[in-house]
Amino acid sequence: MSKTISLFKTLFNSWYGISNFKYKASKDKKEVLKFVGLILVIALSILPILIGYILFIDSSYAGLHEFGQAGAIITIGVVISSTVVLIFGIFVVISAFYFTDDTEQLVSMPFKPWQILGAKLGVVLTSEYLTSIPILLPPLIIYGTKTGAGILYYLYSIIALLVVPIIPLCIVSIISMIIMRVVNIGKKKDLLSIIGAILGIFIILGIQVAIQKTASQGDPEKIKALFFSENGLISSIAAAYPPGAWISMALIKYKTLGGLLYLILFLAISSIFIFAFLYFGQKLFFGGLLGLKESEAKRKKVSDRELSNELVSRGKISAVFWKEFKILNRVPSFFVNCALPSFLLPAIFIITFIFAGEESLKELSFLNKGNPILLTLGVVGINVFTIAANMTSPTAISREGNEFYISKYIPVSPKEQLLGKAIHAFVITETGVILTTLSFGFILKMDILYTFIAIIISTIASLSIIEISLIIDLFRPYFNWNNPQKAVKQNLNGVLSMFLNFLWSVLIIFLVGKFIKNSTFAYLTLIISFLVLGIVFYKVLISFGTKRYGEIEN
Amino acid sequence: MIELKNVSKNYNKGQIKAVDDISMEIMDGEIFGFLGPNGAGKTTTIKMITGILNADSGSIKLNGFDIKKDSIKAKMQFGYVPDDPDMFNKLKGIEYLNFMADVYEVPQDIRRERIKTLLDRFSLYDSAEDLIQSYSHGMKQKIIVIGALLHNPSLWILDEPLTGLDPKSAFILKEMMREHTSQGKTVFFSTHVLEVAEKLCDRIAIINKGKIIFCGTMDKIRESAKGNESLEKIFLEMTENE
Repeated sequence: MSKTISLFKTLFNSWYGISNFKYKASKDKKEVLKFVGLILVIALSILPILIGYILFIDSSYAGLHEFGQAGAIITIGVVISSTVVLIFGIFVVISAFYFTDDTEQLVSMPFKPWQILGAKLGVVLTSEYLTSIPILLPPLIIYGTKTGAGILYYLYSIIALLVVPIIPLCIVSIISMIIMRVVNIGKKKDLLSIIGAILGIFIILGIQVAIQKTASQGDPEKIKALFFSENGLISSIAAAYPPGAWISMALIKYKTLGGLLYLILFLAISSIFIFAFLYFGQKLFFGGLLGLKESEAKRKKVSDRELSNELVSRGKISAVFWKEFKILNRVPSFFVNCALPSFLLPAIFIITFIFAGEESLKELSFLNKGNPILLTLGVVGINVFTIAANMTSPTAISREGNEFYISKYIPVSPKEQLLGKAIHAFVITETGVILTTLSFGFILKMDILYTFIAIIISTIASLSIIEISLIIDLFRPYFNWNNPQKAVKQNLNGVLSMFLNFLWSVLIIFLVGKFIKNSTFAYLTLIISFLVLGIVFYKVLISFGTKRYGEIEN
Repeated sequence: MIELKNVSKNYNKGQIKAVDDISMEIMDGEIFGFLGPNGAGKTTTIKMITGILNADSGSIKLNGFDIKKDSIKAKMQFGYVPDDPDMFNKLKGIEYLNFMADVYEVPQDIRRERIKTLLDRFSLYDSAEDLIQSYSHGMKQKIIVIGALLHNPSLWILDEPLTGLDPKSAFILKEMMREHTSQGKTVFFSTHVLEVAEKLCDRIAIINKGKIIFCGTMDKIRESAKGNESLEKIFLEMTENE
């Protein structure tokens, strides 16, 4: 066990770059200031969303309280945070287990597979807390303060915060290991890893749809009965995900023996999942790993003509674009985190629509009623979110890692390099914009004209979002990664760019939607303001970029 | 021609002088060896010459173009082989070469001919369609060398270019260095292998603790020492005495 703990400590240190940060901070005090500043800006940009969430939970409490269902807000918190871990965990798990450089080295050391996996699971768990705690904490505190709960309740709450992500994380880990074991049969490992990740996402989505169906089955009478029996809502969720109900019941009935039993039940099932994970890991992990680091080499005779076909002359910007394009598509972590989301969101909507029926998307149908401007702006809002959440541009500099020095000695100006990168990011986000808008247009039966307008506005908005993301990455590029996953997934620049860009662009859309009633005028205002911002930030990007390319020494 | 005038580079707010006020001129038509123990400042100097690091003071000119003020023109003058060939692992060899040819503006017909000749010369022709990550250390070194020479630069700047090369490739590279300088062009390279420097170089410079402690021909270095000693012995004495 001590080996596992020591391994956990080392992996934890390298995952979060603690020693590296200490070293940098000891060399230059400004690093600390920069880091604190970055955290503050991220916190400030997350704040509005967090406040919105807290208000939602608060009003849900009031509403549910009337039906004697107040405890359901805890279940809501548990279910949302488990779902988030389930969906986003798969990227982290596959990357952390299979795509990190350290794995190969660890395998050659005297560790058993379960020890490596246990330590890695521990590290991944700590990173999941960063998202699960902000989701689960508000309902726990709101319920606790409103019901005047005692100290034992808060003790149970801490246990809940720490244990809730374990089951979904074990589920995604087991699924990932099975997929990697099955998929890793040849030497085309990069392509297969990507297919594996996509497969994993769809399996998880399938589980989601199935849970949704189980939970929403039943006639109105039954639903009514749910509301009028005590904690009936929780029991209905229990049908789909029992542990979620158990921990809720433990918290609600914390004063009673029943509550304690629920807690024990929840802890027991979580432990069973950990053991199942370690058991499967012991059997599957090495099999999935073998050959992962091997790569295919044909070493076959290449004909003169084949070679000539590859050697086509291009301009410098286009050369940078194609280099970015090829590398991003060939590094699984980059592809899964940067390019895939552009296809994923539309795919999720279409699949949910086909399999779960129109029912599941009826929440969105309010958009289609009445004012078409609302629908168009709604779709633009969704597009803007996917553009802002796309990791291609806010990690475009960071992704070069310790190869950034190459960008400094080749005779390509910073302007040309940044343009190559910006166009690359644009191609990816624009694919997302077109696919998302078309799938929404299809599902919500949008008018073709509005679909077109939504695409135009989103496209123009994407220019300044991409430029701002690049500026953020230039400001404090993250080069010191030893596995590509860190460059995109653990890069605070991505988080900052997502929230900051989402905030300002949605604010503009909101203000225009609220104050300009004439639709043509509203669309024109949006197009012009996004265009002006696009031009302004282009100038800033080029002058700041030229300065930074000269300064950055890694 | 490469000119360094009073170039310095400090780390840790001046506490560590990685390169301390050095000046050198590397002439056209010469192979110039840059020697020094580990951590002496060789790579830092080369990185400043190539624009990867900024010098804190002094000026660096490549064929008359200042690396700071006229950086793109200066960068077009040289081909650079870094000390670590581990780069662009996710590109195929041929894609990397085409990228370099684009970046250095090599016309299509010339690049086709030159890439084929160089691939053939370094026995990499049949690996050109494979990802660089599948290459051995030496193969990576060779593909980087080819990439650096595609635009037929007049200045070659090579950081430990012979490390990891098999004897045949090392021989070819040395032969190419001689061919290059016989056309009146310049080779500037750093090395740990003293025999190579001894046999190959027209002039050498020895750097230790950021300062140039010797710069001149082999004959001159022997003169300054006690006669017919080996370069190894002279080198050890010089770097230890400092």
